[in-house]
Parts: sequence; C-alpha cells; structure tokens
Amino acid sequence: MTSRHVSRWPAYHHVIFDCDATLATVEGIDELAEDHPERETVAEMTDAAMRGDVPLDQVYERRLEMLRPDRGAVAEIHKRYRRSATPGALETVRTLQDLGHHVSVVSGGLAAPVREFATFLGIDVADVHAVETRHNELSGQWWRPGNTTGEFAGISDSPLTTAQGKVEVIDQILEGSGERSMLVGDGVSDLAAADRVDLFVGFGGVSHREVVERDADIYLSTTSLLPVIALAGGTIGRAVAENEQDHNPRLFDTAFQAYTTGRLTFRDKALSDRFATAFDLPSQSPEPTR
Amino acid sequence: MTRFRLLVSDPLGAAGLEILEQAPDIDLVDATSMLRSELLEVMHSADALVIRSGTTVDTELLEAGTRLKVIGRAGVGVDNIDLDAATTRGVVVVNTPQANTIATAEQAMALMLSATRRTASAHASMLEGRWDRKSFTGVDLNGRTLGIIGFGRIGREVAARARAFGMKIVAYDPFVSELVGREYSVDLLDLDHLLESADVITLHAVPAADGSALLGPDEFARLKRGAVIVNAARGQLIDEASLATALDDGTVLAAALDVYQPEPPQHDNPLIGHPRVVHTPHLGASTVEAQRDVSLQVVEYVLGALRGDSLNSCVNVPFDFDAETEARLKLATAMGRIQQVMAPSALTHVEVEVSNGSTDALSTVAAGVLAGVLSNVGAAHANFVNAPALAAEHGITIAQGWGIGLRDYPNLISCQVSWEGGTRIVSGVIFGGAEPRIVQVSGYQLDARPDGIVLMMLNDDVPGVIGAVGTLLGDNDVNIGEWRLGRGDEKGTALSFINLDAMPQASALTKLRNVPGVLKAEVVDLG
Repeated sequence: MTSRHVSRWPAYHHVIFDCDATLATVEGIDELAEDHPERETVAEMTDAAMRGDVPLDQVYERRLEMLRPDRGAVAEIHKRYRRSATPGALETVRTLQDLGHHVSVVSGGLAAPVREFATFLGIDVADVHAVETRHNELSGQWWRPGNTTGEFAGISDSPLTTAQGKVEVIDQILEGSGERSMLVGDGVSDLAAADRVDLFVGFGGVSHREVVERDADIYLSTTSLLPVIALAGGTIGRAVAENEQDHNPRLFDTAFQAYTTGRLTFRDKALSDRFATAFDLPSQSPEPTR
Repeated sequence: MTRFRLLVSDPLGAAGLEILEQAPDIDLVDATSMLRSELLEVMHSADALVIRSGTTVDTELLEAGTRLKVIGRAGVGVDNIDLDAATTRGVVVVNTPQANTIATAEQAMALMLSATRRTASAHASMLEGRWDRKSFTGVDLNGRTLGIIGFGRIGREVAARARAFGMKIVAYDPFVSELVGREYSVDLLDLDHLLESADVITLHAVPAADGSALLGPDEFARLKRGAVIVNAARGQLIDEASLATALDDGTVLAAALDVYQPEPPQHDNPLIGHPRVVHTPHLGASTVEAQRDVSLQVVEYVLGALRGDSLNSCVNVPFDFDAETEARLKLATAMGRIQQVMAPSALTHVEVEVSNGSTDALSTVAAGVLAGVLSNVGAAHANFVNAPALAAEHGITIAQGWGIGLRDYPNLISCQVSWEGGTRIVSGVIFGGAEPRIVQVSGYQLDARPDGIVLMMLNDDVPGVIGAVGTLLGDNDVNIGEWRLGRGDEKGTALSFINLDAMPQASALTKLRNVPGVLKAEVVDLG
C-alpha cells in the first residue's frame, strides 16, 4: 500500500486521441465508399497508408476525388462513427474530463463528422482537429432555403493529409502548455508524432499494426479504451476516483486486468515496473515485456 | 410614396388587419368573400396577396397577378402554393413558422396526456350518464421515454415541457447537430433506435417532398409494445392504415391525432371512432395568441418585402435581408451587370466567392450576380428571386469558388465569369456596412462606386487618351461625376470606371470607341 506514495504513475493531463480505428472502430473515408464500385481500392489505399507502405498524402486526396462525397454523404459518416464507437470511448472521455483532463482529437478524418462525433463524446469542437472538406453551396436547388446539395469541391490545405501532419498539429496544440501529454492512436501517422508527446499509447483494439506495437511506449490491445483511464489518470486520478463519489474506481481496474492478461504491454521493463509498482500490481516477468 | 395594393383572400386575424388598414402606403382589398373567378379578375392590380390555406395559388392565379411581388402565407404550410411557378415569376413567398410554435407544442402535450389518461373516453362516458372509475386507468408520463421525431422549434418546446413531466427525451432529426442535442440534453438517435426505445412518440417533422409516410408498417413493427403515438404535425407523416393495424394488434396502446390525410378525414378512415384514439380537428395553431402572432408576423414580413426594407422567413429565397444584405445584393447585382457588358460573348459559367462570409452571404451574392447578369440579356423582370432558376434556362451554370479574389480585404466579394474562350474577375467590398465599392476588375485595381450610369473603358496607358475622352463626353453634353482609373498588372493598359450624369447617345459611344487608344468602351446603367 505504501509503495503507491513512493512510486507513482503520473497523470497525463492532456490526452489526444486519434479518431478512426481509435475512438471509433471504423475508417470514416472507407465508410463513404461502402456502396461505391471502387470500395476495395479505397480500403486498400487507406490500409497501405496506415501501415506506412505509401505516404498518406499520395492517397488522401485521390480517395476523395474518386468518391466525391457531397455534404450529406460526409455528414453520414458521423452516424457510422456513433454506431461504431469503440467500446468504452464515451466513458473514457467522460471520466478523464471529470478528473480534470483536457481531451483533444487529432484526426486525418473529415472534419464535419469527426467534430459531430467528438461533440457526442463530450469533447469541445475547438479541441477537434481534422481535415476540412469544401462543398459547393451553390449546387442543387440552392436558391430554395436549405436545399443545397453541397457537392464535393475538394479539401482545404491541411497538414493532416500527410503522414507527418500530426507532428505539426500536435506541436501547435501543445505549444506553451506545461501539461503532461499523451497521444492514443493506431496508425503510423500517430506513431510519427510519438516523440512530440510525453507518452504514446498505441491502440491495437481495432487494427493491429506491427510497427506501432513495436515502437509504441505502451501498446494496448484490448477492444475497449477504458484502460486509457488509468494510463492517463495516474495514481492521483485513482486516488480521486476512490475518495470521491460520482467516480467509479472500477474503471481503473480495466487497465490492471489488461496488464495481467498481457493486453497492456510496455516499451521496456523499467516502464512496465513503474506502472506495476505505482498501482501495486505484480511485476509481470523478469524479461522485458516484448 | 409608392402605394401598394394588397389583397387578403383568406380570413386574417384582427391585429394584422388593423396594421394594414392604417398603413399609409397600402390599399387593402378584402377578397375573403370573393369567388375564385372574381379573385382572378382583381389579381392584375395586386402587389401582394395574403392567404391562409384556403386560397390555391397556381399558375393561373400567378399569371393573372402581373404586378404581384409578394405572397404572404399566414401559417406554415405552403402546399397550396405552386412555389416553382412563383419563383420563376420573381414572386417572394413568405410564411410565419415561428408564430404557432408554442401553441402546437402545447397541443402535443394536451394530446399526449389525453391519450395516456383516456380523457376523451372518460368524458364521453360521463355524458352518457355513467360513473365508471374502472375502465379508464391510464399510465404515467413520469419516467417514460419520449421520442421526438423532428427536433426543430416545436420539437424543442415539447422537449422542455416533457422534461418537466419527468420524461427522458430522445429525438430523431437528421438535420440537427450533436451540439443542439447537448444543449437540450437530448440523445439524438437513428429513427430505428428511437422507435425501439420510446414509450411515447410525438411527430414534429416536415413531410417528405414525395408525400411518403415517415411511420409505415416497417416502423410500427419496430415499436415497443404499448407505445403511444401523438401527431400534431401533418397527416401524411403517418400511414393511417398501419396505425390502425398497430392499434388493433396492441403494438400501439393509444394514439392522439390532430392531423389527417386527407383533411377532413374521410368516412372510411379506420382511426376515427377507434376506442383508443383521441381526435381534434387540426387545432394545433388555434389559440388566441397564435392567431394574433400569425397575423402580425405575416403582415410584418409582407410589408418588409413589399417596401424592400427587409426579407424574413422567405420560402423561395435562400437568405433573409436587412440593410447590410441589401448593400451586398446591390453590389452583387452591379458586379453581374458589369461582367455582362464587358464580356465579348454569352456567359456560360459564374463562380462566386465571399471571403469570411456565411452561406447566407454567399447565396445573397450569387442571386445578385445572376440577377445582374440576366437583366442585361433581356430576361424579363429578372430579380434576385427568379434569377437562380432562370440562369439554368439561359445555359448559365454557377458554383462557389475558392481563391478567386485577388485583393486582400477581409470581406471581399468576388465573381469570376466564363464565356467561350475567356474569363474575367470582378471584386467588390462593402465599406462601413452600407457603401458598396468595386475594387478590382480583371487585373485593374480601383475604388469605384457602382451607382447610376457607368462608362467602363479599357485604353492604352499613353498621354492624351483620357483628355480626348473627356472632351468628347463634354461635347456631347455628358457631365462626368467621378473618374476612377486603375493601371493593370500588365503594362501599357488602364481601366477607367467613369460615373456619368447622363446616358451618352449611341453616336457618342461610337465616336468614343474610335478615339485613338480606346480599346473597349461599354456603358451600363447600375440604377
């Protein structure tokens, strides 16, 4: 019991989530392609980019030029996100916010649905960073109130259409902030920004990517995002949860279960031991966990 | 003062009529008791027509109304107006969607409680001389889930009232954002999920354009057993036969209806007289307050549109306007006219950009530019109402543009037009919220007032040309008000924007075009 006070796991007060395959179990742009003849081509392009086999910027606009989604189609992605919210996403965001954490989303997805989905999760739209689409407001019977179809007219320039884009955006978000930061994501574009935050959590609950598992500080392969609560909340967060009503300390246990079942692994033994000691868990093994 | 003749062809509340009677510029004609043939006869003198649901505004009526500018619908539904026909004739159609919001929300609550407490049947039993306290056991609203289909103004008012009754609220509305859901603490669901989770369902949606029902057999099949249905919106939202079946098989415990398809309901309507259905004859907006507000609002909107002061709640123009949008419209129309006279051949495409502008501002500018473009090609009575629809008929396409504007003003308004073989950009701004200025024509920067008669001239940038043109205009008795000159990006040419006090004669214009160094000269009346 006393060791918790001696060795602690810090709280990461600014938690940045990826959206596609992290907060939601789908890839938004692939959802657009569902009824499109090029569906498989688009999905392959997305996957190749997420694996890091081709640069993201090479496929980003090409996929959208193939699909040319109007505003309605773009908005429709939000419903897919909501229907396919990753287990625990809503509770994780709520709990972290209740514990006083700042939650942001940095996504290579399309801004309108990512913003809507983030709002549903309780995240402020000002904390959502994604790729804005342009829609021609003078299309369809635009002269009738509310009747514009908003034909696809391209995307705004955004670093997030490139593999290194999250580095730039996360640097901007964290500039001047003294808060400890954590990034949670599944793809190589998230991994690319790993060294811009204090801790990078690779999330393999939806898509498993070898390179992300290999290089992430922490790799989480539960289907639920709930273990992020303990990882970001830290020992102080757990103490708050245990001592105040309105909080559910059991939510912290999900991380401990993941740890003991090998679904929460660490870059090195030192980090693993620090986590175990802080939360009074048995040391996993004499060897590094991976 | 311009006088307007205003026909009222359906009964209108006294509050609104009083304003019309006292308006100094309005000749009020009471057409409420006229036969249709009589109405058609007096239409030719009408500048405005105020109706409810009783008057059918079709092509015939619009054809007869040669001076008609505004139609005011006291109420919401415009099913009795041929909107396309009104739009192509440049007639503004306004309605009053806000005025009956509270009345309709209260009616929905009244119906909901009547259905769950069986008020109407209990009442009827007492009229029959019975004292029956066993047959009318109801259910609580408290703790039950209310599913609101259509989360607009009325739906939100219903939500506030139902919350006070201790109900949990979910809503379905594909056009409402999660932010609104959070603001009202309402969970926004898919229609299917709403149907599966709601104990009471109330409809506050707009009917589909094709008239198809929102609740048909498939939807009733998804309901929780014992659901209660309330409809104070539109009859066609519910497939009445399916509702009757659902009542009979117990899926629906009770229904409360204020609206029918058609109205009045026909004798074979399976719902009328059903023991678990409460009826009212479309009384949603029938409160003293709503009737007063509807009449006041329709009069305010019609007078605003007629006098050109403001445009509110217009169903066939995609923007409202006040003084600032009026300036925007004026600038855009001038830009369209300038583009038209400067183009060597017929325009085929227009792109419009408003930096930092809302969709409303973009639509305003687009409608204005098209009105300007069309007014010069002899499209009869082109205005900002009919120009968008007429443009397509004239083979002119339009799109929103990005990065057209060349100058660095925070609220730059730009349009780029294309013709066979060329394009031109014209940009403007509105200074101080009211002063339109043209700031760019092609590569020429200037600062010109788009007012009155304007001579647009392109000339060699050499000594003597301007002097010669000035002398020629003077010789022809045309006084020059302002002369704005812009040098181009390309060396050697300049553009003049000359405000004239009179329209030069055709012969003077021909001479002007023959002045050495004048490359192009066009006159346009910007009004």
